[in-house]
Amino acid sequence: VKTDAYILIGFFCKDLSKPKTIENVKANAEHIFKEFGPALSRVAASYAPAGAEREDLLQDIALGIVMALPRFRQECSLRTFVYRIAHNRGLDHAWKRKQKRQRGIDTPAKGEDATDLVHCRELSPEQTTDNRRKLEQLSQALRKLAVKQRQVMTLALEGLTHAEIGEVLGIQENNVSVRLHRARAELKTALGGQNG
Amino acid sequence: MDNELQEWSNLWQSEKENDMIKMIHIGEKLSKVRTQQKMQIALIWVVGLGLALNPLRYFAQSGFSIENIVFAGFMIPYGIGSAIWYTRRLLRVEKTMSQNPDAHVGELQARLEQSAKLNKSWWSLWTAGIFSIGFIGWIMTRHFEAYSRAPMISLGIIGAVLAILVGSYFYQRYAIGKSEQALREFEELVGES
Repeated sequence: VKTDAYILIGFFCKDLSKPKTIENVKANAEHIFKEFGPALSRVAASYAPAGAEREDLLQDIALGIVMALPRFRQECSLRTFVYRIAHNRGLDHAWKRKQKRQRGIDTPAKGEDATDLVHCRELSPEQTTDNRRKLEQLSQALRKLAVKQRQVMTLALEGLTHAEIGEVLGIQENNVSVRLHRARAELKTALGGQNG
Repeated sequence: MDNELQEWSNLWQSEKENDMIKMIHIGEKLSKVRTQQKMQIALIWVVGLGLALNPLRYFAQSGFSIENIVFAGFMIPYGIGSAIWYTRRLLRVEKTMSQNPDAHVGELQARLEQSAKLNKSWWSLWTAGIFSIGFIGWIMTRHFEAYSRAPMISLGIIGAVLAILVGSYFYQRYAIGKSEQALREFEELVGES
């Protein structure tokens, strides 16, 4: 109830039309996006194929961070906070997408898995073609993993330790090891299949 | 980290582009979302208070009769309660945004399980059925002479009640199937722990 009241006060009293509030939100958010922008892009890549869908998800993640920022109590690191929001938004997106597909509202575009090859603007120009192809294969293979494994694997690829992954996801370290082991085996199979 | 994982990690982190987050869009979206939320909360409370205050009209018209007290006893908690329920539902999205992803998975799964459980509960259908049949039977017995003079209308009423019951049964079967399927799909999406 206390949190509800706090959020309600936020809705009505922290008026976003006030220039000072906008500037504060912008300044904090800009700092976060500067520091975590590439990592957020990669999280989005693990939930949505390149193009408009991924851009929408990324905007949604950014919006989630901006909305949740006033309630950040520094009980965890800013990185943990940002990753949590990004993965929660990613799961929501993946679940909505799956439901739409099931109802036939949203059908996969022809050759959707290959869209990463077309939308290469998120890749730096100096990357070689081979590197680019490998990266595309990796993000496609990641999107095929079950969400729990995908989350562990993407965080591991970001260079987080088992303890840090456990903190972000809210699971024990030994559970991180189990999920990572399974994710790795499946990723290896998927990448092997794509290469073959 | 062993070689293979390190190789994947290097490849994964070679993606460093950061031009997709546009602050101007975030600002616009945030203002839009907040305005929508304010409108929704205002609407929820206008409707809730409208329902809760409605019985006062009857008190003013015909005083504190037993019917008016019973009506108010239902409408006041219903109006206020539904406004509080919808407000909390709206705020839940915001509250759960920064929870840890494992808890987030658990919460989404619990919501789907609850929905399946609710669809499976038969008491609502049987209560409605028994109430409808009892009510129709009571009305027909009370006005037996009138109904016996119009047998087709009586049969029509009985038929309509039966059709609603049969329809409810099949709709419930459909809803159970749908919610169970949603739960299976969600479990498939998130995978095992």
